[in-house]
Amino acid sequence: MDRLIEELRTRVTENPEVSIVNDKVWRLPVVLYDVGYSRVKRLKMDILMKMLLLAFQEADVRRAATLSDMLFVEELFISDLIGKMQRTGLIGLEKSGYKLTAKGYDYLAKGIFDEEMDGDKTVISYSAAHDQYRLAEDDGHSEAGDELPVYRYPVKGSLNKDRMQQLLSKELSGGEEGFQTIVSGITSCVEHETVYIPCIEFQLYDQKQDIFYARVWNGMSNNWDETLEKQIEARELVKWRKAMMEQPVL
Amino acid sequence: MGNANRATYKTSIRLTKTAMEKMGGFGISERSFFVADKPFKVFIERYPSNADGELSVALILDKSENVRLAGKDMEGSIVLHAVFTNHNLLVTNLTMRKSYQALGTNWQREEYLVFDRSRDPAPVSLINLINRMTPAKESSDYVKKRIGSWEGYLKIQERGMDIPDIKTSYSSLSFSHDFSRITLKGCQLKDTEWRQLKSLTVRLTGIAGDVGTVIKAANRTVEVEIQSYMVKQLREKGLALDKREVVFSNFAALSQVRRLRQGFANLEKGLAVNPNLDRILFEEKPPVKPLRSLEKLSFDNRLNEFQQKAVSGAMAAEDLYVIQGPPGTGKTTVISEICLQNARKGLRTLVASQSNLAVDNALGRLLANKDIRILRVGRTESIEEEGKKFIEENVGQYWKDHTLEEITAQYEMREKREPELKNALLANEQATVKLEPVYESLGRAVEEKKHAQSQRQAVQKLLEKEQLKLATCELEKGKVVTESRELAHRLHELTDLIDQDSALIDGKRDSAWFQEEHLRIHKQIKLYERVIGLPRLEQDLAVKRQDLAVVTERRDQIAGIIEQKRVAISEMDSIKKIDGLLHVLKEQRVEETPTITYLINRLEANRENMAEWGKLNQYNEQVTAAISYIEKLLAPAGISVADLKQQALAKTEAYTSAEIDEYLEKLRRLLKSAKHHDSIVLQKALNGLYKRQNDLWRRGAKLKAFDVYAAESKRAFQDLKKHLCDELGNQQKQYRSWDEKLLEQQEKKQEDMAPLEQRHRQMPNRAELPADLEAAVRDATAELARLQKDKALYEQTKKKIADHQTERTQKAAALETNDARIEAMNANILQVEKAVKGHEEELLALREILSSDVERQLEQAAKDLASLSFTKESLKQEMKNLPLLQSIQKKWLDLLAGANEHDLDEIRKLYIKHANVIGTTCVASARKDFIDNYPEFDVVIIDEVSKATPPELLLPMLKGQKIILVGDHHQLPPLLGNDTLEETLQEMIDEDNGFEEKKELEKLLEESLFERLYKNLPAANKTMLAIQYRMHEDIMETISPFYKLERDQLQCGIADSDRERDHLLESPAVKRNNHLMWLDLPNEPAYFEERMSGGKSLYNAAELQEIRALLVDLNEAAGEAKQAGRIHMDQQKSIGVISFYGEQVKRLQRMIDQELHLPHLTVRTGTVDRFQGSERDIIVLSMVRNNQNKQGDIGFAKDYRRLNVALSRAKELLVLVGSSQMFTERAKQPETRSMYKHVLNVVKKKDGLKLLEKSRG
Repeated sequence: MDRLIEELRTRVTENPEVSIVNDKVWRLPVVLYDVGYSRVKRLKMDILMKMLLLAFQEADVRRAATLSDMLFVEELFISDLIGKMQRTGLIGLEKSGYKLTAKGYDYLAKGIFDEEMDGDKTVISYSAAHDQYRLAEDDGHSEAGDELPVYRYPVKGSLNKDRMQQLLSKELSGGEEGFQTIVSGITSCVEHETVYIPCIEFQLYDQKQDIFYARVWNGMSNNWDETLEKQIEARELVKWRKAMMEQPVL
Repeated sequence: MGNANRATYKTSIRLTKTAMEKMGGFGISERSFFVADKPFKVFIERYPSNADGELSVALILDKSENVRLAGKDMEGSIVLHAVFTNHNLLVTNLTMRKSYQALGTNWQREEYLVFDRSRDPAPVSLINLINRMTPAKESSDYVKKRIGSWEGYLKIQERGMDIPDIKTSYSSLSFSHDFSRITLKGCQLKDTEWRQLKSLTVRLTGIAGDVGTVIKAANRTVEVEIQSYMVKQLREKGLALDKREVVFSNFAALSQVRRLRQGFANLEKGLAVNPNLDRILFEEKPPVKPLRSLEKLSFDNRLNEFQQKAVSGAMAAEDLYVIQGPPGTGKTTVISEICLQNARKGLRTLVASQSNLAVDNALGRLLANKDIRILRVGRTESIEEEGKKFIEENVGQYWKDHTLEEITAQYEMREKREPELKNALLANEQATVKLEPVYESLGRAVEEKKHAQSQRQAVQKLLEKEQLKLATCELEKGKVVTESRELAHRLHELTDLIDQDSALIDGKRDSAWFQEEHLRIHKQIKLYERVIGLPRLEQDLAVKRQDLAVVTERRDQIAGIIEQKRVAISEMDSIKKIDGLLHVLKEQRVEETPTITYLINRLEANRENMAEWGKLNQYNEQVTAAISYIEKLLAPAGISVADLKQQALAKTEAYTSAEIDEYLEKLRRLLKSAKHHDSIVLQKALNGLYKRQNDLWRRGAKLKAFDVYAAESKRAFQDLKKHLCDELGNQQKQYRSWDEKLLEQQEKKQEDMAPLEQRHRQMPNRAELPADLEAAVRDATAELARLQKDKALYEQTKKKIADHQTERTQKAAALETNDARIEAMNANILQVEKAVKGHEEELLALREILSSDVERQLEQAAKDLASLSFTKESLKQEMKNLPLLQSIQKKWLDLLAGANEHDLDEIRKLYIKHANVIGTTCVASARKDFIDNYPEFDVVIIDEVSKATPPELLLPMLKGQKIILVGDHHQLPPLLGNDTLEETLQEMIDEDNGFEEKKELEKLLEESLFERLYKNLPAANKTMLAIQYRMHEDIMETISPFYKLERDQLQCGIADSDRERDHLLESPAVKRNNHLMWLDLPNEPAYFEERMSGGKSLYNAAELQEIRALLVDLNEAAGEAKQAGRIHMDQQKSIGVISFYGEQVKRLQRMIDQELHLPHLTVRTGTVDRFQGSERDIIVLSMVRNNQNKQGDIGFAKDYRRLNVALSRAKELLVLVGSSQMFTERAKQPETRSMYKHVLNVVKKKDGLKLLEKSRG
């Protein structure tokens, strides 16, 4: 830890005009959730085609324009797809309108019906300060000791399962051979624990430009964390300047 | 374009030896040209005519024809170089054109040709076609010449371009506080390289892509401005770079300039989609085509009159339309509407602009409409947030969001619709139930009315018939009555007449009496007339008697004459001499007949001959005597008389008698004289005598003997006598015939006289007759005439009476008949009158039924019913469809909501395939991948035109059939890199004092392509949007003068500026009603501008302090407004703090970042130039310039366009911070001063001038 601090210190003062006014180490709370989720396997099928198949099943449609009005979709798109489905033999034009062929029914069924897959579990971390959900990685970040102060501008966040699912869908969906695996829902969500991420803060002054600014090293992402820097700067920059002005000139 | 729409030209060709050899070289057989199963696709390019003035041309065969010609595929196209010699196409050479050279340029014509070997001349149509073309070279030269004036722009950008990449290590790398800059130290570079670094792009080993550009390179330190999209990557990796290595490269800038140059080249080659582009760009008067006439457009956006005009004009224009859009006038709305209208017509539009930001701004504000499919093309990392949703990978999401929103709205609306529908249906049914019986009863009423109508018609017809009958009867009756009256009258008249006439002729005379009387009087008249004629008769008788006596006397005379003649004849024998005969001739008046005349003449001639003979004889005797005398005289002289005689007779001479007499006399005198012995004289005399004797003898020889003449005279005398007797006999005969005639007359006269004598003897006794016979005759004649007249009158009267009697009988009968007819008619009339009255009563009864308006009521009821039924049907349909629609849309909503990236993939592909509004920057529109995907557009719209240089504008222009330019030449001209053109120029001049082209470049600054086009285009091809919606009207007033020379004045479209542009702030410095303010700093050293040591840019510390106070004040005011509830708690006032000078902006930004805490404000800083196109609630303008230099230089601030931009960014409040004295009094140019004076005056008028106490600071 100390070695890291030293290295960072060198980095931020690479510019000789910049001096460190103050540095701090503190911990950022991150809540971990144990999340169980369900998954399904489904034929890859674009939604407009699926919708058209469904519509042909349900209503008598002869003209693309009718569907265009119903679905508020550009007629060109619909004509394009109807042509494509006709060519591939999914639908045929009958007296009352387009109807699904046997192949079409079969295809639609595969598109609609999901094959249940085994559910799974994972851990999601939530940083209220960033209002950010992430898949928690098991290793890599060091835990901050209890002795460190907690981040001085805590934000109270609330659990948002939709965003969790969005995260899971984005991160965990996949597919192969014309099929896709989709996270279909969250089956369980238990707040597991709150971990504390060590953060290293430098309060800096650029003499040449007469500028104060902050650099915060986030121990979890191992990056300079802009969000935290901005939060601190917005609240403290003027204070730092004032403090410096009041300092007796040495 | 298929070959079906084109004519195929058939022409003979001949090949020169060179051409044939070349052909062989390329392995082409001559035959292959003439095996014409189908025509050759040929690009015709005209060459300048050769020295002989022959039409010269290149026929470039399409590459697809190679196999046909050479039997194999070849690189490039075969070109036939040909001339038209005597209308024959002669191929003089054959070459290959490299395949990368474009075909189908505007200088070429694509045609289809068939070649043959005949010697026929080339078709006239083909020759004409080529003749009409402009030689490609001329067109290229034209473009080259004119585009040369744009070279300057490229020169500026090309400065020091040819730099190879520079790779070096560095010792340290540090980021600026906000990761906007990198400082590299310890770079190992040569001195020359240091100077070249500026503006080069920077790549760091270990980081993908360009990090940024060099903004400063000095003292072994390089300062790099980081691309905003690189910041995140650098934050993460900045620390972990293993290798400290940097590469400076000019590639990006170079490729940009290369693209610009390529644009020039393409225009030269004729590769613009619009073949007229070069002329439109360069001609004094752009030769634009007239506008098409369009049906009236229906607009999707709400547009003001100018915007409507702009959209309609842009749609109707064929090639170019220019829209001038002053600040805040809704340019983007117009662009949006044009895109939508284009999309509706199936046209594809390119929206291009100079900067990514402008493109994204334009696209971001386009209306979400399913007809428009927007695609933002460009490097993803350089696209701003506004445009991000339109990039390829996001359009699926964008489409989903938009569709989902729309469907949700529809779905929710329909949810509420069902109960509404039910209610409507119920109401509809009730109304129908109520209306139906009304309708039915009305129907019956209408039927009744119809019946009544037909009834009325029938009755009316009958009535009319009867009325007509009545009228006829009465007319007839009237006629008959009149007739009777006339008859009665006439009868009466006739009786009177008969009576009168009868009285007139009664009794006394009759026809016989008249006859007797007539005869009597007639006789009497005859008698009187005879007596009256008596004197005349007697006179006639006397005349006749006298005539008779004359005739008798005449006859007696004639008898005497006849006797006389007889006596003359009998006395004839006794006459012996001619004179006697002549006497008879004269006495008896015998006519000298030719015979008589002849005979008399013969007698006379004989007498004359005899006299001549006598005379000659006498002379002869005298001469002979003389001769013999003289001969005797001469005899002694011994002269031969014979010789003399002969000598004398040798010559014949004629002598008159008188001459002979005279000669003889002379001779006599001679002989008596003394000379009568002179022989010569004698000889001579003898000679004369001989001659005369000879003559006499000659003359005598001509006459007959005397007795012959005597006998002849005797015979003629007898003949004459006899002849006279005959004549006298004839005369006798004549007189006898005359006598006979007279006898006849005599007898006739005697005969004529006999009746007269008879009448005379019969004359009555005169005494018994009246004295005055003439009067008596007159009286009798008058009496006779009277009698005649009386007789005629009598006859006439008698006839009249008879006539009248006949007539009387007739009329009496007629009168009787008429009276009977009148009787009958009266009865008839009575009957008809009764009938008419009956019908009239019937009609009166019908009128009431007919006067009602049941039809209209029925019609209305029917309409109402139909409308109800229609509504019901549509409601029912909707009701029926509702669940279906609802169900389908519900499914659709679910599908959309649950759609993941993959689900949208197909949509994304469709969207891209059918994208019809493409947005990109000008320069990016010339990128190869873009050109490949989008070779041309129906319409190219270029936004913020005045900010782009002409070479930049050219790139998107090349791609459009129609070009729409949107801009405002009263705002700032292009930026080059980070600097204004002026700054760049200044820098170039500083760097290189000998910069000769400065003047030329400065000219570029003056002329803006947009401005020139806008000014020179016909009115139909341009519009100024004159209504602005951004600024409070007080703010707008400051910029109005910049547009006062335009056709339309700038107007404020905000109905109530004070309400709609209320900034809601109340502070010591700023009042609610302040919208325009000027914090006026004194023109004193304490407030003067300062220059950075070593820098070129200016700043003003005093203004910084003023602005600091102002911002703090505004922040507090905003906080207070939130507390007071005027502003929503989450809302922040957007403030722009801008300046003419970059250094001032930098300091402002630092101050705001470092020294101020402004939680209620969102503050952005920037130069005026950078702020063009942006707007803020509040704008604070730091004017910087403040000095007392003699030149009164205010630098960039003197450009009215910069001032215009600076003033027109604020919506609610504009605060100028600077010295009014400096700008309105000290500025060098009078026009600059007046420009700022206007601003100051408006500020004063709006009560916004705040003077700063000089003691401050």
